[in-house]
Amino acid sequence: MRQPPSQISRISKEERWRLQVAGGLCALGGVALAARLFQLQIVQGAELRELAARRRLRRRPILARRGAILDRWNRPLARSIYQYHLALDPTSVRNPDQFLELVRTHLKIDPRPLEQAIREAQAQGRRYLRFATFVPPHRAEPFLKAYRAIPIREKPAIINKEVIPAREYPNSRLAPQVLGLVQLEEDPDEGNRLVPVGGIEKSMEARLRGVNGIEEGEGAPGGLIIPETLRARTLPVDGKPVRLTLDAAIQEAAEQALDALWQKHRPAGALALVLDARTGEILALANRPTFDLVTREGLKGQMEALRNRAISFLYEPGSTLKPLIMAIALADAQVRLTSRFHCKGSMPIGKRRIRCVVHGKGRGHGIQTPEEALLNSCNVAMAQIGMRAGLEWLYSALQRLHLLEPTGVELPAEESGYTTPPDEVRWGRDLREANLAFGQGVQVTPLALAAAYTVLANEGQYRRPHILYENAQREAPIPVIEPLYARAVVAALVRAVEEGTGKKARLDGYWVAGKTGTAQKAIPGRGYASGKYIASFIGIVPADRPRAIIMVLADEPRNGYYGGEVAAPVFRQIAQFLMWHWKVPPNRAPQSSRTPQRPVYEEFTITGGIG
Amino acid sequence: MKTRASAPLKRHGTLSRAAVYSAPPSAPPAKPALTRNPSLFPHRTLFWLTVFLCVMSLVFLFSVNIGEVLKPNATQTSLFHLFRLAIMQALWVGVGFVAMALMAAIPPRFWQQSAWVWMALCVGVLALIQFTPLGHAFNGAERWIRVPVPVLGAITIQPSEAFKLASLFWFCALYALPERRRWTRGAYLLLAVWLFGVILVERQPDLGTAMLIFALGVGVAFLGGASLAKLGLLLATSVLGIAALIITPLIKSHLSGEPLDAHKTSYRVQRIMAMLDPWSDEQGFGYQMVHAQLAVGSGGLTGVGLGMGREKRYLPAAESDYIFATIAEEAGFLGGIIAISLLGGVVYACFHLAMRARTRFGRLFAGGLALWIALSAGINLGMALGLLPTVGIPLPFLSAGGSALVSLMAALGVAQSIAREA
Repeated sequence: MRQPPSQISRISKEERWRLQVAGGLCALGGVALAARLFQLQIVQGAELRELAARRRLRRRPILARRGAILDRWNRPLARSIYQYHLALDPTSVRNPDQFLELVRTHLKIDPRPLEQAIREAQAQGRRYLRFATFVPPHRAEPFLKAYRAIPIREKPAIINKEVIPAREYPNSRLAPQVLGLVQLEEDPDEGNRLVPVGGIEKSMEARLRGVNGIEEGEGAPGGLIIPETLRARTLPVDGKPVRLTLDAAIQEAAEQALDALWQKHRPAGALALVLDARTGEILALANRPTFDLVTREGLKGQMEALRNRAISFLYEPGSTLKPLIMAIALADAQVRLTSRFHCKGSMPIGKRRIRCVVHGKGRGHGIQTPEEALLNSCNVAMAQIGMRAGLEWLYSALQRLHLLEPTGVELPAEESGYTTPPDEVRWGRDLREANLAFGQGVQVTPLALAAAYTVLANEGQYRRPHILYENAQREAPIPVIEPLYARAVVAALVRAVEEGTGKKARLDGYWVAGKTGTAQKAIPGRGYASGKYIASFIGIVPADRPRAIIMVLADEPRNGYYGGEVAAPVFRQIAQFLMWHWKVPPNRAPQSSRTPQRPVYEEFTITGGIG
Repeated sequence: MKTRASAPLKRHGTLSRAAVYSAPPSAPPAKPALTRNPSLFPHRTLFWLTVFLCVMSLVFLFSVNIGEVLKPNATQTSLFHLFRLAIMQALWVGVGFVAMALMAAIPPRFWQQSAWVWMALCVGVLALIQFTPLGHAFNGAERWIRVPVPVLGAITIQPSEAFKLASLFWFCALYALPERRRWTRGAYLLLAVWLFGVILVERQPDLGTAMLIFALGVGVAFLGGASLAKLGLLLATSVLGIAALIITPLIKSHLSGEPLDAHKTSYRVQRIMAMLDPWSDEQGFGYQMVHAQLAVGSGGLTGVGLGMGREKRYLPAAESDYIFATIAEEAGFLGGIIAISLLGGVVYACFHLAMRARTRFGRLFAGGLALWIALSAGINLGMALGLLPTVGIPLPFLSAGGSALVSLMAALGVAQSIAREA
């Protein structure tokens, strides 16, 4: 198509009006746009500006550090650290070899699945990939340092370092039921936080938690807030530390001693509890089954491992209650040190018979002093005391020993000891009186029972047990009985260890007062389970100048069920450690395994005119 | 430049070549009579408006670039990336001025005669993009040719922008012909080729540009004197056609039960729905519209200050399709009006030139160029202000993007050469 060259021509009328129409339309459009601009900016301007500002706001939580849990010497049992979730931009990955090598060496992550994940993310065009989770600081810091050293063009862009609060434990198997588990709750608005599941973490949550701070403003790269846009900022308040009465070394010893029992007797549950005899402070509290606070090994489908038996396990204490009843009975003159009991091996009460377990049918313990009744753990003698004193007295004795109330220790979900109040007993008063006196028909927690032994160990004064250091320091002793009677019972308990059922608890160089307990397991409302026992031992060491009360308990042990057989060796191991740990001077020559002669412990015989 | 046409030109109708070149005996005979103003850019107003707009574009692109680097998920934060947009655009502005000078130096007659060649060439390139692996896809659309450049990385060129200019040339050339010689068989053939090119653009898919090119053709036809009845009919059918094109995925998805997103071009109908109520689909198709309106609204009378805009950090395509949102936010109503006025000034200058041009091709071209700028600006601004659905049409001069800028400045170069004859 050949065209002629441009030809000069004047603009025709038609061309002119068409141009004018087109220009007019354009002008109209321009005016319309200007009007719309006016509407958006001037008329709705303030409203839209506020709306936009609100929409741009980002809340960035500033994490508060959870308070540490310390032992009595301020050694950490649990402390807070920050871990990181690291994320990269898959589309920025070009040559990942060097990066993957870093990931392998510093983060201990297998690079092959990661490479695969990066490929997949690239194929999908995603721009965010979390490649490492829960990286502890000792791994994250060298990794990030090495990462920074790679030239910028050769590395993937790490676009997010999310801070994850975590707990660190110097020994993650130490008293996990006491410390309690924490679980991570991810909350991008209020800040990730640790939620306590049990133990001190839960009971002291208010003090440990702290308050997260908040920054509110417009977001910048890396989850930060642009400083000029900051609208509000509250600084975080870190949680405060909690100091416990636990001693990490003693706790460690208790855990180890319990391990031996756990393996040998394979019970359903076990417990070792060490109290300071003079103050009631809990020095160690070990539970079985147990778990690992970090790896959570032992927790799979096993909620039992979370349970703190010292405060949640209600059981019938059996023989371990006898010394306490005896002490109150002596103090109330229900029994005198010169009283005598006659045991024929069994005793009829109404239609039933109570028996002395040790010697079985026919032969009894014969004529006994109160001391001998404890030494022999004579049910018949205790039953006689109970029936003579009456149900009301027994109930008040248990109350004075603080066995029928929660101890108020600073741990969550504590159970309270219980027995039917005397005014609610409708039938079988005799039997109940007899049973209560030797520890049946009443349910207590191990901690309450061990705390009641402070009455014996502490010159007749009750010390409320505590696990929070500051509360233990504040607590005043509660006088319960005259010191004299407490000493008399301790003397009897020394004999029980030396001659009676607790021989396996004897220590070289120290006097030990202790009582074994072999209680049949009660089934609520249905009497006692045959063949199911709770073996326990509770002792005071050293008996002449009490420092510690140690309680060991095994629930349904196998390979033997006597308290003296199952629990006493554990007691001995812990007690031995304690004496070494506290450098208590021995005051007794090493003994042979034979039964010692009677005069050896004459310093415990009661002298003076008590009649 | 301001003087009126001299005596031989006052006659109506065509002049013979001899008549054109015959000058009064007093004038030097060597100079062709068509050239009135021998300077390279005789239309000063147009030239300076262009310069102002280019400077404004650089300023706001740098500002948007700051926001880009500070985006919450930004990965590239080196110093080069802080200036990347402005540097690239400055280079393109340089190329644009060179192109403008080149075009201004070539007499319009050359384009009038060779228009169909360029138009066919552009259609060829578009076909290459569509049917060979030469095309470079980005965001699901295959609109670009990728050219690797050593320092800057790859540069992408969008041939549909050149096609706009070529279409303008061809339509102006066509309508510059006297009516009886206009619709030859060759013209119909070329019209078919042009329509094929428009369809190719639509298939990229880039409905916005296709509609713009089509509208440009219709606009030149209108200026060239096409009968209003025919034009009306054409417009009515094309509106129906486009509506059908837009609504097809909706119907298909209804019939097949597939989700709407499964169709390649379903975004069109969704964008229209988003335009009607952007706040209802704020995280989806309404996102850009909502944030553009928030940005514009935040500006107020005088704006938040250069570089202080916030919404650009949340606005996708803030440097190209939505540059006006940033201008309005940072420079406020006054800045927005200035930008609109500058663009309006260019349009006005082009219309003014169209009134004065001494050749029919020149008048048609200047008028067509005015329509081109006005339409692109109107559609883009309408989109930024929430009056029109999102379409990928850049704001003339101000949006980042080399192809559009260079082809537009080339067109302005042609306008300058027309002005030289006016």
